[in-house]
Amino acid sequence: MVRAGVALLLAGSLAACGGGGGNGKTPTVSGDKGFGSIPEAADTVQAGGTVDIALSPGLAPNYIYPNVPAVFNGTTVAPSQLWRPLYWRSTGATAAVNDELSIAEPPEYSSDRKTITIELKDSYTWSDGEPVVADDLVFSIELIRAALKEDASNWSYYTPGQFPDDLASVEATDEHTVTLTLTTAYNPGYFDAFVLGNLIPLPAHSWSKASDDGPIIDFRDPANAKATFDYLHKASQDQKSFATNPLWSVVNGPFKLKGFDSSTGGFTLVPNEEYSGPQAAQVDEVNYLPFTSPAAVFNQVRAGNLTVALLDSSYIDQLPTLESTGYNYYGMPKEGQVNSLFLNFENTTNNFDKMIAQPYLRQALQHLIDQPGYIKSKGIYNGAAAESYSPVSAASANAPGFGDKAPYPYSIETAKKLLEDHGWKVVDHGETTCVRPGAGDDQCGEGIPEGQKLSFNLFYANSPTSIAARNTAFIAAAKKVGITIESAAKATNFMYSNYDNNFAPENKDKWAVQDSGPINLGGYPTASLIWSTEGAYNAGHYSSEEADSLMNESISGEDPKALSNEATFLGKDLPVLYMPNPSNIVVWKKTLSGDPDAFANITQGFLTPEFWYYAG
Amino acid sequence: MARYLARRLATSLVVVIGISIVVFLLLNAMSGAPGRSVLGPSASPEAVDAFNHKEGFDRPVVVQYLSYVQGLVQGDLGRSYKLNQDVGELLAQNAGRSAMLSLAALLLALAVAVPLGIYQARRRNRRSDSAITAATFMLYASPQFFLAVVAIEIFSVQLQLLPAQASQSRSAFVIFTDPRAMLLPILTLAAANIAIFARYQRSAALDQLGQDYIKVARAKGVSERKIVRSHLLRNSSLPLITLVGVSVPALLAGNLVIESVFNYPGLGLLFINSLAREDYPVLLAYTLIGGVLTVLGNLIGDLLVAIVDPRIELS
Repeated sequence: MVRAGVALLLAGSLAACGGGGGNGKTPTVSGDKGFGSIPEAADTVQAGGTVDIALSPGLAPNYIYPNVPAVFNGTTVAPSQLWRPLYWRSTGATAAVNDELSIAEPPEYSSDRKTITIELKDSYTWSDGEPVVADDLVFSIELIRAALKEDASNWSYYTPGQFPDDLASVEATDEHTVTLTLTTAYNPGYFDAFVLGNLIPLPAHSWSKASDDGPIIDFRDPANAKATFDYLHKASQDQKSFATNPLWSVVNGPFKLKGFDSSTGGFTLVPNEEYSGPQAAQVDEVNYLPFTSPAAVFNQVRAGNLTVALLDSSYIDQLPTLESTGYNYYGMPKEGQVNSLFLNFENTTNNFDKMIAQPYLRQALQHLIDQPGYIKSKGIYNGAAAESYSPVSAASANAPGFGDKAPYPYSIETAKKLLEDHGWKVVDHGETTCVRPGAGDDQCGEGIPEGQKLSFNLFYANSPTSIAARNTAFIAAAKKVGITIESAAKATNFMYSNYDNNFAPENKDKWAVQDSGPINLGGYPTASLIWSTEGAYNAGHYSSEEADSLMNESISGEDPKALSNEATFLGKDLPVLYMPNPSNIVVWKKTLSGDPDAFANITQGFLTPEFWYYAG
Repeated sequence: MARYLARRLATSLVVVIGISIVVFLLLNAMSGAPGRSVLGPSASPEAVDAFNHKEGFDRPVVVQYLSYVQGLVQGDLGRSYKLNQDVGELLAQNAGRSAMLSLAALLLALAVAVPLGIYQARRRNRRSDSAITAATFMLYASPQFFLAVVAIEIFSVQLQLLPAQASQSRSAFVIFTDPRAMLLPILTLAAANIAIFARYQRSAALDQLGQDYIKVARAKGVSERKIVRSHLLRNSSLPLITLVGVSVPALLAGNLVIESVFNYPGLGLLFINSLAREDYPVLLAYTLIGGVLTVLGNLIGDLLVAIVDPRIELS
């Protein structure tokens, strides 16, 4: 549900499904937070040519079956370019559904929202000439069910208790219509994003078998579905045969796999001549090239050897140079990303739980974070980030009520006043202590004793460097009002494993604040899983009845504004301390043109190379 | 000699088993069940438990270790759950390329450093010695990453003489098939070794030049060329041979920076990435092989020293 948060890079995008193109000559961007520019599409098209794209360092593909298990999320071979998802959840740099690129008409929900009717467009065919039909979607869902019966990690987008656990029935009611009947009612926005957006019709007429030479079997029989899943999963482990196995040659996307290098994960796509969708591929080949490091990617861009690449933000100073040598560039933060300081509401060390439970204290801490300053700072983001005060961006259709205005803007004075108004004696650059204990409005708060010092620890991920830099700035600001923060860098994996009260409850008194980098909540960024009281990934056990109610409405209610209401509350209640969202920076050769959306969407982890062409 | 070798090999086996136990325990101490790290912050507890169960991390450590050893005995190094490949296959794909790169750089470094060190020793404290000393110190002090980036900027971007990345061929013999693309990585990798080896060689040669047998040879009217070739080179090479022997493990693993900057995937990067991903089967196999190579490198070094200097007896 919370998708590959750390994998901002190209390979991650390949697993996440496609997005892009088709609706205009100017880029669709989230407000004015992007930087760089995307030129209009060139009028003259030079057909053919080869595009070389950099794969994300360390994330080269090694799996191909498109209903991807969690362990391979982010390392699957271009699923959206080979197999089209039901709904294309990206339009330029926004997370809006792109109707043109979706292979189904918008879903219809019954009045109780428990029956969903999906009509597949009748124009799509598989590369072997067979039509894409309702059974292909049913087949895919049955495979997901079979996979999850074996192992809860076998489908990356699975949330226990939700789809497909609550799927009462799935039926192909005619050749192109599928009806899902659920035992649970969902908010359509949530179900569209987290379930329908991740479903991919698969070629039942070709894949519904248990061995290479076996007969086509009835996938509605759970035993057959299990046998088929096992067969496809096993075939997906033989990387050397990815490009030669006839299974993977049956596609309905604009490309097919020409070559795959099992030793590096590099691969080549060529146009699917039988593609029946809205935009056929215009270049002859797209090479996805493996890279060992961001430096190696940059070196190849610098030498002019790559057509398209995502650059590490540390190279932002080099963008003007690259522009002068023939590259366009564009940057934009990823939608639905939480990039914040997580708080531990259960850490009893030095009464941190009592202190952080006080809303005024969280507000004071948020006032100490200079988001605009961090973004401008050469040593932190150097301009390549956007302010962020809730999981939903200000430019989203579900934007919080406060828009792009910071609820608690940077102000040392305001932070100081908040503390003093609540019974703390603030000693600038010293030790601020509680002098008025008690639960009254002008007192420190329940459980905070007289003489309590405002000090706690903060662990942050050792990469990227912007994380260390922003925390250094925050700690310095805190010291100005007498708050002492002891910090240390840790490996991200170590933090995942050790600083989470669900997974490592024995360590709950060891960490107070942590910054482990971004978590991506997807195109409909409800924070239920990370901040609801029972949230599976609620690392610091934040709990608020009102937040729970609003998040529940985002998931199960029918109010289309539910997500906006949730974001507004969470932006003000501060389950975390919000930090800026760094931009993803894409560069591409000026000779490569196409719909601006098809370049803007790369920053969001979606690729639509079929819209690219060389200018004549 | 045979008995010596047998005894050394037996000792080596014990050392390697010890290494495997220590590494296994250390990885287990780092994170007994890495499901959470491997699947990331988005994984549900159910998915994490399922992963740990599937990979056997929910079993007692002793059982896990014995199971691993059982696989090893059968030649099975395990399967990388993150890279979706057999570990043996992964190592085979990368080891040859890493070894060839390192070997080429090592040979180049020796070919340059040995005569350079002797040359410096024979011209001790003269201008040429001081100039070379300064140059080697500069090379030694320059981070490999810096050298690589500067080399790319000059030779690839500005002069456009050489490619900015190493050959992408998967053959271990790319040095012969695509030498142009391998020039910068080899030169950069050799640079630091040249500096180190030249310093060692200079120091050893200086020691030898003061020995009586050199003085006697000179007194007998032996030519300087013959003194250098027949006496000085051989006797002053002993410390360097030991150094090269110890460097054998680095043949496979010492190229991390070069592999990273020149986009040349090899064993060094495989290890670092596996560490970040907590891909235990790869880490275990790599560390074991590193242990084996270290032991072998020392053994080869000792044997070579004995061959070069007959006074040394292996017993």
